Amino acid sequence: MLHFFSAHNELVNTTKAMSRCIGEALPTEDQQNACDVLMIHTTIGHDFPTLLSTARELCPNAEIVGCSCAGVIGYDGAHETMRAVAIMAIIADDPSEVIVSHTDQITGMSSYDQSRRMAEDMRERSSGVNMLYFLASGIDIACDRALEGIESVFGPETPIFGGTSSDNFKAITSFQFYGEEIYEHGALLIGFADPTLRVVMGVHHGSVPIGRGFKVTSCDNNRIYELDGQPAWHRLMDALGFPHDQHPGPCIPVAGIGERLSDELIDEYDNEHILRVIVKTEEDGSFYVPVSCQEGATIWLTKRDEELIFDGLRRMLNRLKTQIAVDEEVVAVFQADCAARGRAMFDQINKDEIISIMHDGVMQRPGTPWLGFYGYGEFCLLGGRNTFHNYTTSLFAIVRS
Amino acid sequence: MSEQNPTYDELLATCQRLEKQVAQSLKIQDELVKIRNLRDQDVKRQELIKSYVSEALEAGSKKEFGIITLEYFVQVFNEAKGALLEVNANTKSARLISTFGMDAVDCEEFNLETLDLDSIGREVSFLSENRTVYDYFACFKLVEGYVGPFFGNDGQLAGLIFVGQAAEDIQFFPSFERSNFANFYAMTQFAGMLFQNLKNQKKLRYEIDERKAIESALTKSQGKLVEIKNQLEEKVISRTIELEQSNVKLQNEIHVKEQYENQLLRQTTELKRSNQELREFASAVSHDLKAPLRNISTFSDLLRINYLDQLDQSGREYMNIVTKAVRHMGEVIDGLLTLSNVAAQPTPQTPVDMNRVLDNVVERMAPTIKEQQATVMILNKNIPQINGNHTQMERLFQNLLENALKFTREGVDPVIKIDARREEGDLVFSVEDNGIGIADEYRDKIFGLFQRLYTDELYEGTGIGLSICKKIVEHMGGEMWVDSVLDEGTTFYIKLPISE
Repeated sequence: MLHFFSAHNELVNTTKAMSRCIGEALPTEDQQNACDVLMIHTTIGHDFPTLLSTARELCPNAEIVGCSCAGVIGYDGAHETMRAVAIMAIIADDPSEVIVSHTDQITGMSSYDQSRRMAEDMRERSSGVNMLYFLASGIDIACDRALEGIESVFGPETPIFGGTSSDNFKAITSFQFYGEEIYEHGALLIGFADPTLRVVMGVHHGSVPIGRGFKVTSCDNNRIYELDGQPAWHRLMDALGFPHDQHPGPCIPVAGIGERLSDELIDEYDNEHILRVIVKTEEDGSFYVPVSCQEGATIWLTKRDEELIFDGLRRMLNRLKTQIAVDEEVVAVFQADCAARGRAMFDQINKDEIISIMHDGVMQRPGTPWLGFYGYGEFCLLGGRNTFHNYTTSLFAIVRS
Repeated sequence: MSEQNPTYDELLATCQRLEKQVAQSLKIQDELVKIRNLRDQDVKRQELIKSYVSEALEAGSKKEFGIITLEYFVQVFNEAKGALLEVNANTKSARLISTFGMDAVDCEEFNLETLDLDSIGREVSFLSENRTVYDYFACFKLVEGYVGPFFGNDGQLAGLIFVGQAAEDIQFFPSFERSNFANFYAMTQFAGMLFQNLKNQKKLRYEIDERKAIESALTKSQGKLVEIKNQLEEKVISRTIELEQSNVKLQNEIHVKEQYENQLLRQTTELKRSNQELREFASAVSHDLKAPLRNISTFSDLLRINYLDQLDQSGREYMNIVTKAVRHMGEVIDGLLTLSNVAAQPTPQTPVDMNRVLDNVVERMAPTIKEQQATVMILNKNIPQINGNHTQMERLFQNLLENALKFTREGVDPVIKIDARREEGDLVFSVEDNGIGIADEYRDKIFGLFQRLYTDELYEGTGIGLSICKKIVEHMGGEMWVDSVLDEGTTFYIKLPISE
């Protein structure tokens, strides 16, 4: 049986920050020694080597995993300062109930193979994995291919949830952690094999398309070269009134592009479009999206719709709650939100309200362990299929029957 | 565009224009969010600055103050690195109190002689706009940052706070907004006041600590004194009890001693009285006996002189017996008188020349020695003096010499050796003869009064002589004993203290 413990803070001294986190989540030395997996999310200002060595010192037997992010979300709200850290500590009655696999060389082209390799490694070590938490680089990974790689081993029926790392909206690089190693092209797979647990998910975004859309006239996998016959990035910047050499980082909140969903998913998604974030551009005016694209497809610029954001969130939570049986207990909540849904899109009041709606909707009791982060993308089921999303809030409630 | 019926192209153009406006409004929306977030951040900054003031007030040292200050500065202004310097305007020097996020080991001390302090100014400034300061503090390797001076109560520069970013931080950390200058300035001033307060506190704390140390030492001394006092009191009580017990014991002992002394006194008195009575009795008896004995002797002499020829053989024998008995009786009485006189003499203290004593005795006994063909040898001619009574000493050795000449073996010429040797503080005399000796079983009896081992027929005597000898020796504080082998001889030993 797995047990979850979480904590977070905004202390600027890295050693103090991690020590206090672990001290709050696991108050006793016995608990710290018993910790099997320590999941860490941290904003970009912390000294990562110090952060990880402190974690290793305090939890000597734990598999340390994590990634950088634009902010952390705990049971009291969001923390988006340059130095915010959050952890989820997992203690297993049987160590084989939680397995970690990792890779440090995952990029767009290798996304399938590297993910498959990780999944195979995990499958060899445990046959009882019934859900997977997936953390990956948020800059240049082909996330749909990565999901296919994992599914090729565990099958499409095994739920995959999680998100991708981010930086401080700079879209330069993001970091992943395994043990005391720090990667820029890493991915981590955490397999849960506790038969008493299952994951219940909900995903939502509140953006709507504007205008008539852009036709993808040239692309290769997840790299789009042209829109409407023009260099893709230039075309978008023209529409937004930005210069062509605009770095994608500052555009993340406004340059989200939408792709139309198939009709059968629209109700569940509460939206006709699934969104894609642009975090990497090339000098030739092409840009990358996190999933493969097809020539001839239409993509739209989108804008957030406040009413849809709030109402849609409530609807999503209602759907999520109906999936939890009366006799099931929510033992932990993971949350992956798009970095753009933090301070880049909302002021403090809106953000606090959104998070409190989520807390009220999912937490059955105060203090339920909660680990959330603002990344560049989210992995969440849609229509029963493992799907990669952008610009969403994605909630993963771990329930015990 | 036609006012009534717009053409498709007109409508399309309108749509495109509107689309563009909506798309570009996203930028405005984004700016608005940023503005609202700046407002939120500002509110948060104010809260952090308040927390900073209350936390920094608790700082117990400059180092602690530096750590707290820099942690708050980098948090409030979302910066990567920071440094806090204490400036001594009088010595034109600066000392690094603390750094955040950077290693500044190589620049812990600054000589400000070469820095124009006016270049620092009194306001917050961008390092990049203040080239003098930027170049001077290049060791911090901040490529972007701000310097905030703070001042002491005397208005002189008291410290500098730097925050900023090194080259490696620029890509992730946000740029500093000039709008933050007001907050930075305010927080720097707070830091200055808190630093001044810390220095005052430090002085105060030093005084308090010093006072506490003195109080502690005093308390300890007092405690020690109380402890010593208590120990002393305990000792006094203990000793008093011991003393009381000892007193009681002593009282008892004194009481017992007094009882003993009283008893002894009574016994001594009784003994004295008894001795006196004995002496008086002995004297009286001797004198009272001597008078009729003298009559008997006189008349028996008259009888023998005047009527001896009228007596027959038996009568003459009876007459001889009477004469002999009278003489013996006289000798016994003389002996008893001598014995009682010895006891009556005071303890002798005058030095006695023992060489002369022995010479006198031998000279006096010369006829008897000659008659018995005896040899008397005084082996030690250099005998030290003793404390005693000269007359009694002569009587002692005369008695012993008479004894040695009396108890001789048949056919053996008597040889008598008189010797004296030192033994520690005493002088041990020996009078050795080659006479008949004394059987072991009688050795203890010979010093008893009227103890005689032989009949008058064999050896005449009164049985008082050796008693007198022993009495004389003991009266002088000495000892006397005998060593003898039957039919070989006897040696009498006399131990007497030497006169110093």
